[in-house]
Amino acid sequence: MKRNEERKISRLFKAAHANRQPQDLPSSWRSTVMAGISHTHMASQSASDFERLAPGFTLAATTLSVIVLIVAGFSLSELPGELMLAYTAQNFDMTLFSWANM
Amino acid sequence: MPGTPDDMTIITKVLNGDADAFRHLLDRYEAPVARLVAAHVPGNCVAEVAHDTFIRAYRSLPGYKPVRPFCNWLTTIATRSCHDFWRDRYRRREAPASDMSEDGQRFMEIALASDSVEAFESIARQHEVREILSLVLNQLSPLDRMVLTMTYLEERSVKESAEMLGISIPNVKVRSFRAKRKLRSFLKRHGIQGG
Repeated sequence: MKRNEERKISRLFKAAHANRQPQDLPSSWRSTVMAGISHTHMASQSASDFERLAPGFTLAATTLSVIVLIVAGFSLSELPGELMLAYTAQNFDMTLFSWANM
Repeated sequence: MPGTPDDMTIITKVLNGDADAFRHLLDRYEAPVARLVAAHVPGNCVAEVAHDTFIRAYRSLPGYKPVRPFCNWLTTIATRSCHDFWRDRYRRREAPASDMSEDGQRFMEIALASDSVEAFESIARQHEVREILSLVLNQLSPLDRMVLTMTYLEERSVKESAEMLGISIPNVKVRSFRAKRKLRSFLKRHGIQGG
């Protein structure tokens, strides 16, 4: 009895599954998919353009940074000396001040 | 079909940047994909999942290797889209596992008591059976649900199911066994002894 019922349940579920009506896709469905495809295509095109241009951008940015560093180094070559002088003078002033207050 | 380019010619065109050529693949495989998807997801979601299948196929096209027919490759993508649909549904708790109503139990008793083939087949066509089946499937995890549908309801081979779902054969066997056991215990809990 149990085995018979089990077979019946199996047949019932299989038949119910097989009886599922295939859905007709709406008429606009195909154009929606093609719109999605063309959107994906455009996105991948712009991504591939970017990938193609990326090494050039990197090279240009690196060159610019090197130029900026050289110019900065050249213009500010005397800055470390000036800073050292100011620091020494300040220390010297402080030393004199502390001696005067002793 | 005369005058229609074969799949590989269309795929080559698409890969060379002619996205419009994909329309031929859409025309050719719309019906089989919709049929496969309709076997796994609710009717009102078929268009959405079929749409997702073709967009995924387009995106994955550069990785397609013609060692297997395009149709089989697309079928695998459609199956995985259905699986992802259920995963998403379960994550959003839109497929709650609930118990069978008393009406459902009574309906099953009548169905199992019917002796003639005609009566049985007419019962199988009624929407109550589909509702009960959907209730039973909702008790399972998304992957177990896919495995049970393919191996038990559609009687696909374990190997084919494993390939379509992208999991190993032992994994399909274990999941199928576990899902059937769960199905039996669910039916038993509702007084249906054959379960």
